[in-house]
Amino acid sequence: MSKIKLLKKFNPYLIFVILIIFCVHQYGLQKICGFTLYPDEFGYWASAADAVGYDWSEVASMGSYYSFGYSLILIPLLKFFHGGVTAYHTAITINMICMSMGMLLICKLMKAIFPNISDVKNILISGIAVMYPPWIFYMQMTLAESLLMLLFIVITYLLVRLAQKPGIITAVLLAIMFVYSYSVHMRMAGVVLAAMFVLILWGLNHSTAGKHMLVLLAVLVLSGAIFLLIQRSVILNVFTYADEESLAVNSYGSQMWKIRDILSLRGSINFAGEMLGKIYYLGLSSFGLFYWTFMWSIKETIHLITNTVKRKKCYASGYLAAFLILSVLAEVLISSIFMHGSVSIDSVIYGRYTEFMLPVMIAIGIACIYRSKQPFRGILLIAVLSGIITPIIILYIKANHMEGIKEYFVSGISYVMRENSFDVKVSLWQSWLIGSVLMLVITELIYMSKRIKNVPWLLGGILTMEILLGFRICTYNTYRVNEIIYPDLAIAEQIMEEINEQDEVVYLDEGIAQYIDFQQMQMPELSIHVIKETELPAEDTPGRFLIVYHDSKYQEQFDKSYDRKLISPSFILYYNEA
Amino acid sequence: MRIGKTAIKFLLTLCLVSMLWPLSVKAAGGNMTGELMIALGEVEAKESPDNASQTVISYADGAAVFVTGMKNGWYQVMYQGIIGYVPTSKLKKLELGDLNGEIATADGENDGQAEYEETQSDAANQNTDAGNQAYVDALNEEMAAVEAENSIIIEEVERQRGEKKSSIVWAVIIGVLIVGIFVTGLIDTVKENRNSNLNK
Repeated sequence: MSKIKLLKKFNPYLIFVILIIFCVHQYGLQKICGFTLYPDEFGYWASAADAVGYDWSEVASMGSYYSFGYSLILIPLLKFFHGGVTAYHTAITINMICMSMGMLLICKLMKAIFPNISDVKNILISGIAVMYPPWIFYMQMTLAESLLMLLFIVITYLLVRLAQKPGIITAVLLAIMFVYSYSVHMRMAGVVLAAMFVLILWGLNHSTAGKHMLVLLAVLVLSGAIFLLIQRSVILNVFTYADEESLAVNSYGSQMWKIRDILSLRGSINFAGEMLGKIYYLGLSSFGLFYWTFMWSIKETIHLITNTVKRKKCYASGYLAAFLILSVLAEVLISSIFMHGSVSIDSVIYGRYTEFMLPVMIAIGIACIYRSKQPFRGILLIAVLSGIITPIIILYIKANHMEGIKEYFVSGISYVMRENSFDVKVSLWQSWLIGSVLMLVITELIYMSKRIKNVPWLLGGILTMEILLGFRICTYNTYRVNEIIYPDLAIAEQIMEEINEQDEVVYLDEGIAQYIDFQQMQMPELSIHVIKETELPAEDTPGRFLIVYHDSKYQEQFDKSYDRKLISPSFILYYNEA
Repeated sequence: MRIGKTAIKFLLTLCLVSMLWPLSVKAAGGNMTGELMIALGEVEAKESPDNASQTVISYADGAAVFVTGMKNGWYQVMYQGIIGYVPTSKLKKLELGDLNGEIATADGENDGQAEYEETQSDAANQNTDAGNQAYVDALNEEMAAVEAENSIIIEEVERQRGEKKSSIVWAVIIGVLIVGIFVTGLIDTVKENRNSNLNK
């Protein structure tokens, strides 16, 4: 009976939120046909193509190595959908499912940690957590970010579950998630290490935890070995022609010189500035909720340590808090090391490598505001603190003569930033101002839904605001890029229409950005042969189909040597009659 | 009474939120058009809306130009992620009708070609038949190429129209669902307040 009552209360809001997630995904779907970020997105698809039996190695080798974890999800899409656009759209739909699953898991996580929060509030808080504007942005592209956000939620949930109700299956799942998340992106190492540390603490506090820890370790070693085997195979087969330097870009080994620099006086000062920038981003992009969660985590971790020392009972919230603090510190550290020494402004306030933790932190942050007696005092403090950090970051950027910014790397604070008219001082102060106003609006809505009886639905206002902000990021990044590349589809269509079995498709690499990835994706079964300018034959034509850039310097030469020509916004296709 | 107060507070907050949105749109400094236009002659896109600034993109006569906005009376254009500015007088608005017109012009060229063929046959003593045929073939090929290029633009304009319609439909559904949350919430509030009054 009580279950029926609970379902009656749950359903309308849960259905509304899930339907909104679906519609947000549908809103953008027709605007998208391919990659927004080159060559990152293609790197994930290339490993999947290799598993299906396609040879994209020549185009893939123009970029660096990308972890294969996300590619495992893309394999069936390439196998069963032959059109590049259909496969890409299906991948976006999977991202939407990730978001919905993340929402349900946050619901369960919140119920486990804050049992006093009502069901309606819980659903809306979870909806707000997953509708974090950059997640709406990542949902509409095939970067691994959407999956990473879900994986962080899954790991957090499994950790809490293990602490509350220890079980062998939970331990096995957790170990698999550790290895899988690392295989999706190496930066997840910070999260895995943080979780392992918390698990050791949990093992020390619980006498019965021994067998769970043993099982976890065994599965970890086994799945780790499988991971290494697959990684070796991917590097050998997919990035066959990549040079050592390209392969090293995304590896830990190539970071050694940065660590050596960080250990110097000047390097350590710069490193501190870079870390501050990452924390600044996390605070502003989460509407200040990151700081609420961080403070709550510090308090709970102190309780956990005190209880451990006094040999008292330790609660799941303590382990969760310790995990969040360690994860944030580790990820900020990793992100800052990777970005160290870069001259681009976005490397200081880079958000992409750390914000996958924010959905969980947003949900907990809202719960903290509910508990707080003085939420406005707290939010004002956060706004002032961010205001103090802003000029420090501006000074840091100017002192290091940094320039250039990619909005999509700092999407959570990019609502008014524009690449072509970027002014460090104006843009960062604008971001701070908007972030502070958003903080106040959100706190007001949370406060009202707490103070006035029976109006939890006011949280829907935050959801609305997030959707609008998410669409704004997509409009200026994803949709705009796709509007330009849509007509480029004609090149692949023309080749597929005219090509014979023995024909070769050649791409002339003139050292410009890798838009050719898009064409390879549209012709999955064909292997594009990449040639450098030095490999151009003096008289003969290189292949029956030749793709070059729209403004290739060899246009005149090819105009004479080929019968037919097709121009799209980014490419020219030259080909001869069969 | 309590609901009245709630409603007022809610409306005030909504106003705040809706005020924030146009603020950020204005701050972006552009009315995004995202439309395709046609270059009138050889066009050079400048780094900033100033003739003296550096050329960043060059377009051939009749090339499709992707316009993303306007600034100081110049079109903001984009090509492969590079943004440039072109004087408004250098670009022509592209409508489906215009394209049909262009194709009609191409048809006109075809008539001219027929006339040419006639003239040529009259002067058969000056030119060989094979020579005529080669010229006609060359013209046909040229026209086929022009048509193929135009077909990409036509398809793109049609796709954009369809996509805009679909986006509007989904945006409306999202709006309805959000309203649904508020309406369901209001009904719940009224019910629960009534129940608590009855209990009292």
